[in-house]
Amino acid sequence: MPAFIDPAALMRIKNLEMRAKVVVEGFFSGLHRSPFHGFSVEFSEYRPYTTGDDPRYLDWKLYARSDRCYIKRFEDETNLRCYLVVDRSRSMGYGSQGYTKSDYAATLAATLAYFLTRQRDSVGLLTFDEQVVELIGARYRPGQFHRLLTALERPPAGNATNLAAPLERIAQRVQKRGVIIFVSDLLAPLDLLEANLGYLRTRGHEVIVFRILDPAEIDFSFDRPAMFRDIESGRELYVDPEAARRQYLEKFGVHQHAIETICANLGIDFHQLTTDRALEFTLFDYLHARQRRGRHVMRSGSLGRTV
Amino acid sequence: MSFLTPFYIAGLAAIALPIVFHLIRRTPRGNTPFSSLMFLVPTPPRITRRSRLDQWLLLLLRGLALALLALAFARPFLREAAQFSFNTSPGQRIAILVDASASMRRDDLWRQARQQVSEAVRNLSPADHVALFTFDQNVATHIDFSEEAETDPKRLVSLFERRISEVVPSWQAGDLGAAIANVADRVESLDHASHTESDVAKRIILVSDFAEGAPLEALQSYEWPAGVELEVKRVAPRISGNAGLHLVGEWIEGESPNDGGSAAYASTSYRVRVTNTSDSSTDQFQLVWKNSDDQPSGGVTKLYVPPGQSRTVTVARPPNSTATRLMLEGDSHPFDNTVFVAPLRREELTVAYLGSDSSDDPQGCRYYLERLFSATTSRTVRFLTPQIHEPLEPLDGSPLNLVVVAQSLEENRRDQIQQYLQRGGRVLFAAIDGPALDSIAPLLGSEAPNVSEAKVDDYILLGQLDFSHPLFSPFADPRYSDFSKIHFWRYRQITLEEPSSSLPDSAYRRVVARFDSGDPALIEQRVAQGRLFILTTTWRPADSQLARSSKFVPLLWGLVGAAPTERESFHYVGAVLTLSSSLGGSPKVVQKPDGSEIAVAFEVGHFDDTDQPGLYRIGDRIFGVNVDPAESHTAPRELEALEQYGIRLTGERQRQDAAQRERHLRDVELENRQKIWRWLLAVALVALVAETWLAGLRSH
Repeated sequence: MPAFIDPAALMRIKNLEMRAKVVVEGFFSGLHRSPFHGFSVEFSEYRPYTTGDDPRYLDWKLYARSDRCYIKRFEDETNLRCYLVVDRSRSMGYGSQGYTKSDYAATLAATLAYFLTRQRDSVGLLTFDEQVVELIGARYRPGQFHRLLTALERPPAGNATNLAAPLERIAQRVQKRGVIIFVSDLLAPLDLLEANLGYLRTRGHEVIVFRILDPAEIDFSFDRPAMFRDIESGRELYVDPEAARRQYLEKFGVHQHAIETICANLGIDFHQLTTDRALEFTLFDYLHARQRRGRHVMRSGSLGRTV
Repeated sequence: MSFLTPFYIAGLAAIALPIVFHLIRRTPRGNTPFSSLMFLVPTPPRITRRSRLDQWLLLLLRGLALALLALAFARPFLREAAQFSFNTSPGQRIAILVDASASMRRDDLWRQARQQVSEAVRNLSPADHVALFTFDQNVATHIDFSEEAETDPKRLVSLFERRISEVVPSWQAGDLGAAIANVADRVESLDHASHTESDVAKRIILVSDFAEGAPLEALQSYEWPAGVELEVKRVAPRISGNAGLHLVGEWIEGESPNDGGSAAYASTSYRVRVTNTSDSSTDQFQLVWKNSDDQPSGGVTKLYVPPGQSRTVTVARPPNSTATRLMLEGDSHPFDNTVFVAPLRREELTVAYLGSDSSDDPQGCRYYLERLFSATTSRTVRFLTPQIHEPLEPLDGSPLNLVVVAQSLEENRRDQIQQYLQRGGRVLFAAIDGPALDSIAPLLGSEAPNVSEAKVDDYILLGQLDFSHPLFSPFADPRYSDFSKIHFWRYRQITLEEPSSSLPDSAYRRVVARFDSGDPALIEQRVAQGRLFILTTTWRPADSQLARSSKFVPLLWGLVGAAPTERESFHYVGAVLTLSSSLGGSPKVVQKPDGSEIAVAFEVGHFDDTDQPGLYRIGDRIFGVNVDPAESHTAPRELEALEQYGIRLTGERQRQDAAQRERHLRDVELENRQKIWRWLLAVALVALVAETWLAGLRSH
């Protein structure tokens, strides 16, 4: 196993760009030994010419050699359009590890953006809390990565989390099919989540959900009774963890199960990340998802190109 | 187990501290931010489980250490050991002074007073010395300190109870101030008498109703002895308030009766005052005359006297009544509700004047005498001027009180006077000139006195006066003793032989007054039982200013012998009744109100055993003796009045304070001996060491 960087050490790097580069470089350095090596570009994209195909795309050289008409795919068409949808609400400001979920999510987003940029894919960004905060269109051009970093470095500010609005906005904005990477803690009511995700799916988008959670949110590892204050709303509640843990875990499990069910129903890749998990795993998760997606696409004869 | 400083026991509350700290640790500190409360439900603070005490032994050890510390600071000691003696104190000297004045006759005050005495004696410690006094006008000793010292302590209480039960409150007014001062002196003076140290605690227990009427003026000039304390044990009647009846004045209405005696009963009016104390609850009273059989006589006079006020009313004795008592009804305390009135009697005086001048000649002697001896409401005067051939004394045999001579005496007249003198008569001889003075010389027992007309340059004054003589004793007071304003222009010199010691007392002679030239002015010569006064001048304007002097009237009335006016109903119990010399020379028998009779020798001249109110009969005179009005003011007086005179008051509270102090001292002593706190501290240290060890063991 490659040696991964401890997220706590990573988070001590103040510069988000540096953080992203460290992760991605480390990832690439380990990639050579990766069991997933070679699954990307070796697929030939020739297919027999059929009536109605644009004759411009005929591979004339092949025709000259073999006297068979094969259509050659445009390289231009194969570029990935990826939108990073990042939750910047205040609930993301919680962290028990010395850094917040928001920090982790920003690093994750920056890492993915850098990774995709290095592959010459166009990357866009949408941040939201109870409404859409910032929307940067997917481009591949110099400076795009830095614009994304600037938007990601803004501190979380929203008082609530509205999961429906940004998905709706993305659906409206992004006409071309692409990959939507949804980074959030999903600690919000799930009423419209299924409808909007389904809408994205029906538009042909590929959706990957990264759920960022703090370890304390998963096992509720508090031991002292205390007044618990909601970071978003400021509401206070006296809770004795000993007494409330069981019920918390129960409700949390129900919530998570609901999310997983929605994602499974819609064919969405769902990954739950805790902030103490190395970011490289995230990239593996991503690539893993892409790979499965690619197989699925190939089987279904889609034009979608895997990385 | 007792504690010297029980305040520190409050430190036991510190035991709660470990538990409190335990509970405080369980309460939320500040608040914990959390990403979302959507999966949380509020839980009430549950202390049952979380507050469970896990380390019982540690808690016990800590609590024990704290408790022992608190107890050690409270300085415990064992009371049982407090048996070492504090009875080595020298004891107290206590005088029990019981008010036995008339106001103590109210209700059951005397029974209460006896109880108080008995209680006081019972509360004594064996080392105390105690004496028993009672007082009204005077202090009476019933048990003195020496008698008490000789008495078996076991019989002390019964002795006191017996003695006090023999005492009955008198009818006299109580002189509270004088009695307190007197007893304080006695208590104090015992030190000087026995030459003992004066650190003995001295205390006077005053058992009294402490009424307003009891005078304290005697304490005004009395310096209270430093070591003596006064404790007042007040007795109070069940019914407060008292009304009193007192005589203020009396007079005879209408014409003066000639026959005197019982006729005087007919028309006498009395002015009486009814007082009502401020703590009284009644204000309606009535006055009733009663005769000697206790039967009401005549009508009833109704009165309204509000509490704290007094009313003066005039009541006439019912006509033809023999009532001798006026009673006040409506008051619950009857001791001062009766006024005894003696029948008002006119005294009769007979004065004979021998002189040649007429009654309307202001240059003569008679003119002034007649006006001087005129009748008053209480006496009638007969002024006789027997002629040369008439006998000296009145023919009807009534006594002749005084003979005034202002002329030369014939021989037979001189004999009459001598006889009169030998029967006990009184004669004033005013020498109008030398021969007149010469004519009286044989009565002086001196054969040939040298008599001459004195030569006076301008005027002469009285030089020496014998104020011890009954005639001048009323003037002995410096306010009245100035005779220098009386000028004399003419007088007669008389040279008398010194009376020889062989002369009998009946021929005693002395010069009562001399002029400043040294010549006699007034000579008293005793002849048998009679007295002859020779004035070497006269009161005629030609001789002197004597008749115009204010001394003239009392001087000549003094010759008659009776006090100018003696009001016979205005005596209070304990008063001295003066027996007039005009009552005859034999021993007198005094009949007291209770019927007993006491003989009084003639020489004594007074009667002082007036120990009860009522009518005292002495010969044909009747004196009314009543309760002192001061006794009627029975409203309780504030004790602070005593403090104004510098008296150190002590009471139950002060004594308790002193006992408290003593107990505290004893406790300190005991605690110092026992020092239990050291042991407690040692055990506390052991507990702390054990706790530290145990805690270290548990934490590993």
